[in-house]
Amino acid sequence: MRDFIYDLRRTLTGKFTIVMIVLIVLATVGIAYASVSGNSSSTLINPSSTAYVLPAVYNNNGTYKVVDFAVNGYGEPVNGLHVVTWLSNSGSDFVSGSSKNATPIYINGSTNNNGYFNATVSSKSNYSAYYYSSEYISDVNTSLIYVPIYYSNNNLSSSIYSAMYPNLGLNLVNHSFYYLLKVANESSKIKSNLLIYYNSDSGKPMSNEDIYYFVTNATGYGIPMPESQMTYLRTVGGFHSDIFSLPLNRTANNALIIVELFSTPKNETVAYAGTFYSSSSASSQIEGILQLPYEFLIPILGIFSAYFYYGKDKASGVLESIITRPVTKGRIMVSRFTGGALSFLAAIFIALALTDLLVLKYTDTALSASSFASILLGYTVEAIGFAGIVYFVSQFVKSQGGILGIGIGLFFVMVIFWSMLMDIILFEVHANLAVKSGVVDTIILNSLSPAYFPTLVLDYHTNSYGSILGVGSGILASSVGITLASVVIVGIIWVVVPALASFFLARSRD
Amino acid sequence: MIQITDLIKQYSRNQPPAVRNLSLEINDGEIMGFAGLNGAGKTTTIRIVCGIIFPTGGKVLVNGKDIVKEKVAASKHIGWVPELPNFEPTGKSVQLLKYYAGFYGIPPKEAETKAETLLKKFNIWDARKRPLKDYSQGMKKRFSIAAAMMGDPDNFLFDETLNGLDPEGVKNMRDFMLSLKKEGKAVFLSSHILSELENVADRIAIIKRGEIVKVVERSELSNLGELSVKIVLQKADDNAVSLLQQFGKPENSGNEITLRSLNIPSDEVYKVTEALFKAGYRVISISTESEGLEDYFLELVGSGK
Repeated sequence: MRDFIYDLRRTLTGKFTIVMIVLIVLATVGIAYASVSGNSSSTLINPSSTAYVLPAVYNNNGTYKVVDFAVNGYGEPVNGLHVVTWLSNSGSDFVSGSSKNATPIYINGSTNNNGYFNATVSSKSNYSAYYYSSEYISDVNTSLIYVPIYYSNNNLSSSIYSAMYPNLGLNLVNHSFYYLLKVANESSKIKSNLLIYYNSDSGKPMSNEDIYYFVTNATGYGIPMPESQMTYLRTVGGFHSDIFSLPLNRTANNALIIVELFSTPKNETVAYAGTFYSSSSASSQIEGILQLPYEFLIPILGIFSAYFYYGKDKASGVLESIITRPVTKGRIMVSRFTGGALSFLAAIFIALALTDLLVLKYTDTALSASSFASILLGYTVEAIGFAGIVYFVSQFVKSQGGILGIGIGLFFVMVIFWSMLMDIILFEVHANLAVKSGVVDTIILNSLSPAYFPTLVLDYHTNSYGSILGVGSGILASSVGITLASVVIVGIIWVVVPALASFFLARSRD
Repeated sequence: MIQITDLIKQYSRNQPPAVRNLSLEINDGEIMGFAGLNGAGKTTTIRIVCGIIFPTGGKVLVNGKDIVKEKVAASKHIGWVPELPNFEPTGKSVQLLKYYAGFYGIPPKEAETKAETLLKKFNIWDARKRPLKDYSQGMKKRFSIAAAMMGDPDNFLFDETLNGLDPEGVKNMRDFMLSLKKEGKAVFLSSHILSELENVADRIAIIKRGEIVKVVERSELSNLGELSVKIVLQKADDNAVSLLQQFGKPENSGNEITLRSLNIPSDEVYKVTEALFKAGYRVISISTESEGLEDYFLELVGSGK
């Protein structure tokens, strides 16, 4: 046993183990940081490349005053944004008594240093709608995304509400506009801030108003909500535009956050907005983060670990110089296999723990113990399964190139093309995937590759078959045979069977 | 001490056994030479004794421990020096020797000291920072010996170790083996260089097609094979050849006649001289000669024999 522990210790502290752990941890944490932090680029459009226009329109006896305020995704004023707008009354019966078919007035220009574009036009026609391009994205032509706001001529009423993209709410109160807009948080891609923008015909800043908020998971709710049902945050005023953060914790994830402004002292709702604080849970965040690197990285490292820990030494004859020592072939094989397995467990554990901490920092939400365990075990078993197959192959193939070639072939067949191959088989046998038995057949065939095991564990954990990034297929996992027993059996098979077969062959073959 | 009993190794059912019913004993303080043509089964035998491959039948005991059933205990007493040493190419000598030492339960500090001593002894200490892939063949062999000595085993197996060594290397190796013998170690030396086997071996086992055909004792080395009588006459003729046929098979070459397949004992060779003298021939010289190891070896294992 001493020889086994000795070689195991050497495997665990070997160069390849260290490289593998560093690679897995760096890849995972790097992608996690890029996904959740606000300071790095990602696949999402950078908020600083986005602009939103918040318009205000006033009509004083045929003189139309337009004030457009442009902010970027962080709520900061945007200078030099070309704004394309027009006043119209066509195509809408929203305001009764409006004269139709008047010639639209086009009002185009650019925002100034403070993010404002101001224009005044006179017309005898009665315009009731103001069209503007709500969102601008760098290098993307969004000029056709026009959103109208409607107003009643000379009668701007508190009863007129409009909720427009992107998650903004406005209320027209006595020649004034209030906007509550969800904007990005510069230190987190997942947290959001609240922008309050106020504009009035008089040009005065916002008077004191009370911010209230409400967190709900309910699907049915009425807005605006009465103040009595909401939580008071603070009283604010004396500005045209300011940014606030809400004191929300992880319970707000996936919940609807309703924010309202109440006038003081009348306690009347002057503006409201419904906005998501966090788009998803830590579980789906981390699942999304791991999916791309782990889908390829874990199997290929599993294959390479078996090659470098064992197959290469066995085929090259290096193992012979070790076997002549007081140690058996079987123990060398098991110590290296166990060392590799423990290395994967450690690497994925460290990577997952650091990713969890990163996500916690940026979202205030962490993985549950069961989610952590299922991700950890799913990928570890996948790596061990692929390693085990290569250990098995190494017992028969006598050349290094042969072992490596078969390993790479396994990667292509069992990782990249496996589900396609299984689909072809199912198609050829006329399996009906719309019925339960067809789904079960699919699961069984896919389980013949270790690459499917993380998905299997995830499906079991969420009890949803074929869920992707938290979006389920609507089929309960348990209804198609994905139970604790079946997952454990598949896991044990992938961990034990190739390794055990390799062990017995190593003991008995030259 | 290594005891090999009825050893059989068959790699494939379709081929004859590489080793069959091979029995040998290599005693402590003895150098056993192992000679045979290519493919005779020398390396197979040594690899089985080292525990690298498994025997199909028979038994190998190393210091009384079965190499198959008690591999760990038996391997503690084995030091193997292959023909073409194969180590981790990127490994460094000290690290690798320390790794090997761990299997013998040698603590790291002690292993480091021992590694330094051995590397200095075999004159490769200065190359300790170079990866083994950069070593010459001779350096690899010297490292291989150092590696074999890490566990201070009682039995050494040298498989064609002399191949590829320069004369100085061969001499050093010979001296080293003799020093092992002095220390009471058992040495099993397989080699094609029969003269070297003659120089160092106490016994030489000759293997043919997987079987031991002869074990030659050191005392027999000087008197191997057939005795012949070489006679030089002042004037040899056909009558002299006819005359000598009564003692064996004469072969005439000028005035020199070689008499083979003697039908008289070696101590009665004087009768040949006597007969020639009586017939009136003047004998310039007469001497007896025995075959060398090489002739004897070729006679035993040569093709068709």
